[in-house]
Amino acid sequence: MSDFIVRNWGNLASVAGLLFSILAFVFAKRASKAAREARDAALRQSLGEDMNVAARLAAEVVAHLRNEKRDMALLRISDLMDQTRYLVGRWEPRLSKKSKDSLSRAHEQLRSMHQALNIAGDLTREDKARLAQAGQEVSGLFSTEHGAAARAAEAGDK
Amino acid sequence: MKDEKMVKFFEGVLSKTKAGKIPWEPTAQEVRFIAAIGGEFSLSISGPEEPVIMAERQGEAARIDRCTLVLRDLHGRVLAWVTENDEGIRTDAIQELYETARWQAVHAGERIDDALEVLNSL
Repeated sequence: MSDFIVRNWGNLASVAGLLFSILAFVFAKRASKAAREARDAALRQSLGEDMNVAARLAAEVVAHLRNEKRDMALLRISDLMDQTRYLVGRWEPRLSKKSKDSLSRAHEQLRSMHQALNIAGDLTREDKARLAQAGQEVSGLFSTEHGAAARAAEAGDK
Repeated sequence: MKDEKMVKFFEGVLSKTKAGKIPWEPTAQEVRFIAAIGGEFSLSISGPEEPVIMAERQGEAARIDRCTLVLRDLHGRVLAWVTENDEGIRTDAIQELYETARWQAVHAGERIDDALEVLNSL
């Protein structure tokens, strides 16, 4: 046995080296996969947080409309339009077609709400009803997107 | 070239609307309807405001006085703006688009069925 080792130590060292290289490659691959998964999880979490900001702004819009605080509603609608632009700019490559459609719809609804609130004079009862409905629609869209982002983050964690 | 594309785009929206393929929905404005398509674009169609509404809103800066179809990208940038004054766009065609989109958005067909039921029960 010792003769065999003495005669073949060079070959044995090469085989051992090869085994260590394979192990190092496997571990590096696993580490890289873990790092990628951690990064994806952090991104999903961050998308969920950004959607949460939008959902909260939308809820504020609904509350201001309900309390007939027109100036505050206009302010929050502008904030939410900015947040929607940010969401699209930041997350476009990661959003599904359905999510992008939802953000487009929300943006259009907000634009319409802004114009409807910006008219001179008092709002009619019908105007208020349409604004309330549009506000609920926008709030629902962002809540759904926030839920989808949170679900994706949870699924990624498992 | 630009006019040809605009006419083609308008006719595409009209035919897909008639086929019920565009999910038009109401907005906070009585005469405006919107739809998102393909995860990339949004459409809005605005109709002329009724005289009584316009009279109530004297002083409004951007009063809508004709049918207008607007195409925007996902970032909200206007890509195309079509009105009945554009070359190759017939007034009756854009009015038909507005009326069909409105009909679908407010589910007018179903609501009229409900109204007919009420009428029959009187």
